[in-house]
Amino acid sequence: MKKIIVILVFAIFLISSCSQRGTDAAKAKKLIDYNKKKFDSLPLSGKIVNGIREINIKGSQYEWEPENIVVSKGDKVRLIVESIDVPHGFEIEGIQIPEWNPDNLIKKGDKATLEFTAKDSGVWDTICSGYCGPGHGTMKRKFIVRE
Amino acid sequence: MRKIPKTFLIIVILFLFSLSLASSHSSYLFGISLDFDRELKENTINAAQKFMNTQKIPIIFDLNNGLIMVHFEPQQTNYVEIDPIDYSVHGFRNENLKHSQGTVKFSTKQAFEIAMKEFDKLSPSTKSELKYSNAVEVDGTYFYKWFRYNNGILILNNDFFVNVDAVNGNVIAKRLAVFGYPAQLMDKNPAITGNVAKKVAELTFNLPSVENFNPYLVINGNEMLWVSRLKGPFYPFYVGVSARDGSIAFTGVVPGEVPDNYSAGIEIKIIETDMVENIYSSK
Repeated sequence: MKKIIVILVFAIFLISSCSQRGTDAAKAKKLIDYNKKKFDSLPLSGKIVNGIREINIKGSQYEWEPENIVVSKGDKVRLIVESIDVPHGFEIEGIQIPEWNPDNLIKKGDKATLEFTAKDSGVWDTICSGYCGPGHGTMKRKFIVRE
Repeated sequence: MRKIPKTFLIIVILFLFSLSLASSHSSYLFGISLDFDRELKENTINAAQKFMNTQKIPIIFDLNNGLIMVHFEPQQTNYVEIDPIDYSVHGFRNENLKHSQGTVKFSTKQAFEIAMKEFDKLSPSTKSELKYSNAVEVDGTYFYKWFRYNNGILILNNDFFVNVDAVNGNVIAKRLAVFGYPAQLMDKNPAITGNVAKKVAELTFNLPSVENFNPYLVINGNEMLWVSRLKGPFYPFYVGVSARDGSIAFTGVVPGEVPDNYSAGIEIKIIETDMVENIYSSK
């Protein structure tokens, strides 16, 4: 009898702890799904020119236009980054853009053309990589690659 | 108080520094130019020169978490840190005030009293948000550090330190970080639990957590994050999960210093927002 009680108590403990873990895992999965789809309502940025998604970006103290960049996975992307006022840098943190050094400053009125393929889906931060004034740190937006 | 070998400390500092540079260009920038804004440049230099009581021309400017470092000598030995918003002085380092020879004359306690005089110069509201953390002895000097908290939760990169020479008692460096957000604009309670955040990290990267590591809360900017630690294929790494919506905020190293034995999290009340409740109840 004692053995049965011990087994029952152990089974209840096991089931309750498993269900608790399951609850946390289920909640976590829902949060992950939500964050994956969070940007689905945003339209794709720019237009297709000769098979390349071309997006014009304007940088000024302390914002980017458009605010967020949205492309599809596998897109060949061409970013034409223009500085409106003071020198700005451009970087997508975590993505290395061929032949582009984020330390390069784009001077007022200049345009830099960056080309790469959006290989992985996900969300990255785009930042100004050259000091552009007291609000420099707030010049941070999103680069979104949809599945 | 712990005594850390200088070489080890330098290696650790350089390592952390390189990681922080690799993970974010925006927190520290070497050799920035201020030529695009004449007024900004002039006012910054004037404030630094006035503070150092010098007419020397700066040799270089760096950006350190929103503060412009005006260097008058090479290798981080003589600089002033200026807030470009109001040109106030937030910090300095002057190695010329450091002893060149002699024996230790100031105990940790005596030097702490000197550091406290610097702390007392801060505004009452700033002081009320800072908590003293620890002292570290490096190369004949003492570092005393305070961290900023909101509702018991550490605010990353919002700290204050004073560096006192153990031989001559001079304050050779100090720094008050820019407090980016007032406390009332910061998240006060997490909307998801630490265990859910831990699961988000595990499932996102398909990796297990480090055993016996309990997630803790920090505030980065004005956003509250749960910090988890995963076992990577080669070494463990940290994952910051937003306590607002479970999104991944950072991976790799925690983007700011965390005091030893810091563990705030479990005791903080979870307040599920409507958004999080809706996500949980969705099919």
